[in-house]
Amino acid sequence: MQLPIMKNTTGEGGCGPREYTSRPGMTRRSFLRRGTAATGAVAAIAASLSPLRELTDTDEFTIANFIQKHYKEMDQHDMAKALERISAQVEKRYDVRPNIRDIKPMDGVEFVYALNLTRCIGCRKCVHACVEENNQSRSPEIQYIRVLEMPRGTNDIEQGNHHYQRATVPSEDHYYMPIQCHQCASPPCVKVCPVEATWQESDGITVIDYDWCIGCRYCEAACPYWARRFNFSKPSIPNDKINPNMSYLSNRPRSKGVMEKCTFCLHRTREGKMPACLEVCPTGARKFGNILDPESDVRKILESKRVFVLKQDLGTLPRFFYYFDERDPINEKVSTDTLSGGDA
Amino acid sequence: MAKSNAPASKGPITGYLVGIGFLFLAGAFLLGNPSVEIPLAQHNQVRTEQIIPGAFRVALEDPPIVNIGTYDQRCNDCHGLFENTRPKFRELTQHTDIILDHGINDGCLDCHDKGNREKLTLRGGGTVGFDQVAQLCAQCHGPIYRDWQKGSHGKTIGYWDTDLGEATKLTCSQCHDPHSPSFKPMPPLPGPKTLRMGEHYADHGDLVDDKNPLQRWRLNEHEGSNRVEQGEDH
Repeated sequence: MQLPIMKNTTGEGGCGPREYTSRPGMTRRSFLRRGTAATGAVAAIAASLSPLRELTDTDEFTIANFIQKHYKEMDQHDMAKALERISAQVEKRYDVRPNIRDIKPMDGVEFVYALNLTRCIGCRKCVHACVEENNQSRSPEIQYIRVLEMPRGTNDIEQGNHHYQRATVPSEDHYYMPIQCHQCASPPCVKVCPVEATWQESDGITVIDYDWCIGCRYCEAACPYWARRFNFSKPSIPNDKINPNMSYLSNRPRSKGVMEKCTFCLHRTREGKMPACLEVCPTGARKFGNILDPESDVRKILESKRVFVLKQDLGTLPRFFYYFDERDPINEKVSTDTLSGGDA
Repeated sequence: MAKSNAPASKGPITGYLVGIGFLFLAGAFLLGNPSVEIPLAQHNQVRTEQIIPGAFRVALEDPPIVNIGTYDQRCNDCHGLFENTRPKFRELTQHTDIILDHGINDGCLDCHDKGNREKLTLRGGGTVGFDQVAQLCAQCHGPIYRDWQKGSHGKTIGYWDTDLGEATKLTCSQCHDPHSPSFKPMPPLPGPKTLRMGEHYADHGDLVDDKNPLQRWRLNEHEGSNRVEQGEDH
């Protein structure tokens, strides 16, 4: 582009720096100098884009993805396009045609979870059912539910052990406390998000727009319940393990560098079903329902049971409640001999 | 481009240096390995049959029909022939697969009806079918029955919103074995091996290895030895 100028100034020789300031004249020397610098700059820019070479056609990054609007700003047409794009990507990546929808919250519904600590035996079935349901990465492992093995007599969760590995559970000296997203009514994670990629929906579920998240992990730091997970590397899920029942805000496959979290399985619960962790629990320790319905299980539990929330002093107002039974079957061994009085 | 113009005015040699600097950077970008390989732990395989949703066990809705010889026999086909008068549990000659471990409730006829073995007996008289087992259990387990009715004990699967689908409230025997009702200890599924929590296991409370994959990777890097084993394709 600067060639014509160079031709005009070919005659001027022995130029000094001063000439540049007065007039953008061009000598052979200045051309070489500028040319070298420009070539270097172009080469450097090209080289700095070189990580793009590592993008394969199964990666999430596309122009359509890049210019996609925020979830709340999308109209029906935009959402249809986004869902079609995600659907095609999932099919390309996992060879599975997903049934992906954008499911809106139901009117007059506020979800509440209750967990019976007396009944939980720490079998971790909920953890792995959740992983299967929500298409979480298997390698590296991402799990929404963590089960703490707690010594009896304390609810200091710092004393909990994530890594208990026993022949059988429960251990008689411990109780088990599963922790997942508490879907707070005053969620600290939402407050700290610099890009509003996460927000609370009208049914109480805090969701993430995975296409809007910048991966700063502020929310992970803010969450007092350790409920948020970050995709440090590209999530990998075996093709045959993909759950094709997906929704935009919950279990569609995530990409590297975004946060994710429990959404109370909103692709199930917003269609009236129970969450996956509840359905797999062998002891029935998990309870889920609409707190606004006076006849719901969770409403009756909150009205009649001994209920507590974790870290109540933080004022996060969780929608996840722990409760107890009057009697403790694990701690209380009924001896047949003493009760029957040697009758047999 | 603009950047390269500005320093060029400072002297004849600066422009070359800037260009060479950029080229050097370009070389570093292209030849270097900018993406850090994140060490991943081998992930835990959980078989699908380990996490089947729904009822914990299969409960009998009807009395069993046993095939003896070539005939299908119902309970009363045998039990109708003679009367059992023993009030308490004894060594069985039949039904030896049943292990009765139900506390002080140690007699067959405490629950099974004496006159009609295809029914369950109620203490106040009368019988109920096998599918109405909750009424039988309620006679001793009052508070639990109350909790079950209110929904804080037991398990309801299917739909929480009964306008959209059916809610299935599991009955006592769909979780508890009536002959041995306490929950049996079971092996837990594998613990977390997430990047931040690592894969240290507590065996009887002792930490075997308290380093997560990242920490071990850093240690191995100095020795130049093998990295933590990679998971499958990622």
